[in-house]
Amino acid sequence: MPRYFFNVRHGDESYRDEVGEDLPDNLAAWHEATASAGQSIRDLDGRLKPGTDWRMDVLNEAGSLVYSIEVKARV
Amino acid sequence: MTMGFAHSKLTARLRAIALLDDADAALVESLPIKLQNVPGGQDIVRDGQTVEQCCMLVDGYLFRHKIAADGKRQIVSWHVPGDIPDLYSLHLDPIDHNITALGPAVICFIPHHPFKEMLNASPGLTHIFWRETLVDSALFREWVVSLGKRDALARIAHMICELATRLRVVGLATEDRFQFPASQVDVADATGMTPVHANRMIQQLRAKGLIEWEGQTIRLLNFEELKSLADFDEAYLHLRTPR
Repeated sequence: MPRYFFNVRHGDESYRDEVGEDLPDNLAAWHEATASAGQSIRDLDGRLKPGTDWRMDVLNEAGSLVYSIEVKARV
Repeated sequence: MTMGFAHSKLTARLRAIALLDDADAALVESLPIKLQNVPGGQDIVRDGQTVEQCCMLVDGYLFRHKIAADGKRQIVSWHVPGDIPDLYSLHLDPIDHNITALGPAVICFIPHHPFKEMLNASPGLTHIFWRETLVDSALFREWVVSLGKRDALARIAHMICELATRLRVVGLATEDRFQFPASQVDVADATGMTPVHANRMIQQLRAKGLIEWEGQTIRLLNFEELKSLADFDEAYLHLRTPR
């Protein structure tokens, strides 16, 4: 199974996924990304400030961007 | 591993939670039990099954889980040696969840009939096992609070604190480390997260210098800090100092 990496950036904080996750295909990676993004955003619990963005990038083993999910917080 | 070893695990466990007099200890030691080795991933009992014996964990880990309609699995508890995860099968039939070995485990079966006779012979033991089921439900209350109200980082931290504390009672965690053969998916299914999110939380605990998690070994680098992040208060485990 191909491995996918899920990196997260939120304002100045960034998390680089060094471990990754083995998933059958891009569609499975998309499901994992949307569910994980939902869980991350739940835990932001007010810490997402207007003017900062939250973003998850899904990369394949070659390091190419497969998907991006972005949440833009505006006043 | 001998039968005597399994009996002594059970009496040691009962002594850890209650005062056990010699007559009651002798009753426990006369239970007919059968030891069995099980490979990791093997189901001990399945949802909907009727059983005529209880299963006590002697070595390794077991976990209870249920499968939702869409096939997704929720792990509802971890079990450490000395636990009898299907104790309630003495009174409730059929079993309403699955019990599975996390890694290779040693279990022993205690047939219901002699188990009930032992309880009939000793009100003291009846109270001790009753208390066991009450503590079991206290753990579930805490699990609900974690799933419902703790953030992902605290949920994983809380799970680690609980495991370390319960393992210390049965002498299986040293001051700072213990074995835990769970995969990323197992941890995710226990804490209500996706594997990706669970992995990110474990990396955060690592980056904060609170734990190391290499292969199957969890090392506690700062247990006090971890407990405070997890909002962990061991009172709900209702432990007693072993005598």
